[in-house]
Amino acid sequence: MSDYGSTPPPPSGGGYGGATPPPPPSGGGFDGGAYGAPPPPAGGYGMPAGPPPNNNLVMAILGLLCCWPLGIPAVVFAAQVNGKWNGGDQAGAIESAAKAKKFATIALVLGIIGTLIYIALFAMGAMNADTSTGM
Amino acid sequence: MIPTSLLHSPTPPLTDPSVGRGRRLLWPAVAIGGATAYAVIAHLVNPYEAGNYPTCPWLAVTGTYCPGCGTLRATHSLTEGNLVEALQRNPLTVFAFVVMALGFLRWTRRQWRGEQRMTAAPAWLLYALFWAIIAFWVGRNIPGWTWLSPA
Repeated sequence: MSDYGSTPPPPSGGGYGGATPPPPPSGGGFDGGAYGAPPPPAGGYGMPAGPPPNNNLVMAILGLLCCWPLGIPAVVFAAQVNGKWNGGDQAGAIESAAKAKKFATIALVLGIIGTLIYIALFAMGAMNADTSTGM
Repeated sequence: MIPTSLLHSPTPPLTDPSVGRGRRLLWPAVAIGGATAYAVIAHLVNPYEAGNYPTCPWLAVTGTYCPGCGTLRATHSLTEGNLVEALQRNPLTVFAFVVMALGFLRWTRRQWRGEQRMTAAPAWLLYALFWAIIAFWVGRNIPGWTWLSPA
């Protein structure tokens, strides 16, 4: 997969000088060049070319419900991803996406651990089951 | 196997053509399966009856409602077709379900066609969503104002 996307090897012999154009893709050669190449720039909104990074917003919101002290920065970083991307800051967007993912992951792990402890307590009967349902 | 219309549209750019449609649709299928299982459980095991589910840890510890409170009961009401009751339990949940359904349709259509996502929602929309969640969190815990509370 990776090798197919790069520039096709030059034809054997000395034909480097540009006199020989690269051979046009033949019938089956669809994955040879066109599809492996980076996508063309999108319309003139100042957005970088290519697909935007995943901003991990869903994960961040779930993290917000699991553990808000970590979920709040996760959501803010997730929102930053789109702001930076739409403003043309590709590296910043990717960096914010990574931060959002890091905060959301920690929040989710803490939330899952807390829930497991809670379910264990519930199963052992330490909690009263007659409180009103809370979810 | 690959429809010709897919090959003749240069934009939006396509994903790796070596990944087939069945593989691309795997995660949408997992998502719809999980959502269906959740809805079936919420319908069959009634969350309105006490003791069927453990109380949310946040509610048990703090005595206040988090933005997710009432989601299971709202889901149960929706499976019975009772939209008003679902909105009374958690309006944000109903709104989120609509947004998630629309997003799912867009995502699945993209995966079906093998396209890459080329759009990013404006950042202000995401900040607005964040503040809406926080405001909802506060609003449903204001004493004496039960409009947003799940009870």
